[in-house]
Amino acid sequence: MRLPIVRTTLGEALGRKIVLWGWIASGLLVALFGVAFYFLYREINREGNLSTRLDRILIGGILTILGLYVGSFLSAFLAMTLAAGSVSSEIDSGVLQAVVVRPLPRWRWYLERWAGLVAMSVVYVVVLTLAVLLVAYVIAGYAPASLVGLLALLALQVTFLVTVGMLLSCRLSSVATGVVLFLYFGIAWLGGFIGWIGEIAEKAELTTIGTVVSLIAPSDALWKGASAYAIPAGVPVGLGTEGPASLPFLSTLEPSPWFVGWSILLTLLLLGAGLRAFSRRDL
Amino acid sequence: MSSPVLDADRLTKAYGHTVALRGITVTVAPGEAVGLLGPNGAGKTTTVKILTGLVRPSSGTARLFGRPATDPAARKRLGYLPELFRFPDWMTGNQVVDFHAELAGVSAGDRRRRVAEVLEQVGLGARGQDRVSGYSKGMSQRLGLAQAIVGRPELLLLDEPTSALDPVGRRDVRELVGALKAEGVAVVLNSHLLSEVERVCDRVIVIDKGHVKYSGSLDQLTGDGPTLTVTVGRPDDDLLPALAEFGRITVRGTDVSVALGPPWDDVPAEAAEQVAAAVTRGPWGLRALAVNRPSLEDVFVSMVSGGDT
Repeated sequence: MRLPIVRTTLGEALGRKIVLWGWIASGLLVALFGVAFYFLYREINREGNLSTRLDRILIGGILTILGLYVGSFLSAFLAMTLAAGSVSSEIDSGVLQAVVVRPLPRWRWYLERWAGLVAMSVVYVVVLTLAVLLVAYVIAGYAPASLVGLLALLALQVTFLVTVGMLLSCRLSSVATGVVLFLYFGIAWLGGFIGWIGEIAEKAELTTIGTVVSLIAPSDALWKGASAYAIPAGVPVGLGTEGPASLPFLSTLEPSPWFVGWSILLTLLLLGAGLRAFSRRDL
Repeated sequence: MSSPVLDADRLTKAYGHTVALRGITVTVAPGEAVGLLGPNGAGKTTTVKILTGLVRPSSGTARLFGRPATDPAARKRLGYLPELFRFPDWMTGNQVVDFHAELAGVSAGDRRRRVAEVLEQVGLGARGQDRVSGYSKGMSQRLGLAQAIVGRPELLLLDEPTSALDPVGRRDVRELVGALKAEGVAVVLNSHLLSEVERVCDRVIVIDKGHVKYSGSLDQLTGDGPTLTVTVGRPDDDLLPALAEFGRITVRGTDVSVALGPPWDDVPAEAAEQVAAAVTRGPWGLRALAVNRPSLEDVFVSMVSGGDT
């Protein structure tokens, strides 16, 4: 099957060297992470402090999840940046007008564009995550509980953000889309933080706020779900503490199938809304 | 009569409270070249965008080859050069045209040859391997034409196709459009350059304030007919009766203007010869003789600045 819009979307990223610079920056990040991980881990383990396998996994786990968190943030940022101008900048620059008058249904342009951006974002987050995990495995022998679960949720997170970004880009300018999308991402993070405080302080209202926000803006909850898959089996709940996670940016509880299902459904609904908005708008 | 390639019926378009079109009806027959004229903001580009399916009308219908303009299948035989366009600057000229050829349904086996052919046609044969980022504005416009014709369209909509071109480029585009027309391609030319429209089009549609103010042939539009201006050295009272048989006479100093009437209006060159003969037979001394036609610009300016036709 010929996919000309997917090809040009990927070609654009390569042609503009977005991908090249993205990989260079990510390579530097992984190298920095590796060096920091190596020295920190050696320092903590200098006097045999990490005597048990569990200790090594706990320290290695915290450092690894920090690396994954930064990688997830960068991937989310890349997805949002790619999506922000995905429709509006094509319209404003006049690139789109000559393309959509071809015998090509508008839905197909939108869907192919979406697929191209999702493919780029997913490849980026998968490769970056694998690189971080490889460093952690080589230095500390650290391996996640479920690599598939971890990668799948991170991929869903960037897919969701691309989908929201494209929908917004049908209606708003590139800059406005970027701002709204980043605020939306920030609200998701804030909701996750409020929910975590609710768990720590055992305040049901705060936990409920966190849950509601995660349903409206699931990007942070998807990351936390992914982080739960990054913790090897057998590690105590809370990475050494009893009860909720000891750090606000991770979760020790695997996401419920309902939440994952809802996130997929929401992504599909927003994709449908984007298709509809694009098909109906004047260009 | 064969079915029209383009048929727009009572198109209206409102953007909020601003009404851009107030019932535009346009029909274009196969092989016909039609010029769309109108001042800025008249509604020409909105009309073209509706005809290409880029904009939906508030009411009315736009059909291409008998199908709604919003139906992708209707656009299989359409070529379009937008007024404001840009091509991805990371692509080469070859890649841009190849991409559009693929979208237009040119078969994979035929694409390479077709891309080279149209780039040659628009004068970019030697620059196809260069990135678009290195193209001048004129070259981009030529590339725009190349992508518009690569799918062998039967209807070509050109929105300001020569606005960035130098005189040589304009002539090239005129020749290209003429050649396409000769092959039976219908052309709709939206241009501010009235001389271009005058040279290329069989028919013009003048749009102003969202209405069609005139639709018909150029000859009808500039219908006052030709005039002759005779300059003589020694005018006197006998001069006017000598020229009266050729048409209505107006005198300004030593210039005598003759608005040619039948049968001279169809053959101004012949009338000019006879006027010259009449003047040289007398004592008036012929100094100059010129055939004038009201230009499209004169008529257009008069029409859109309040006059009516």
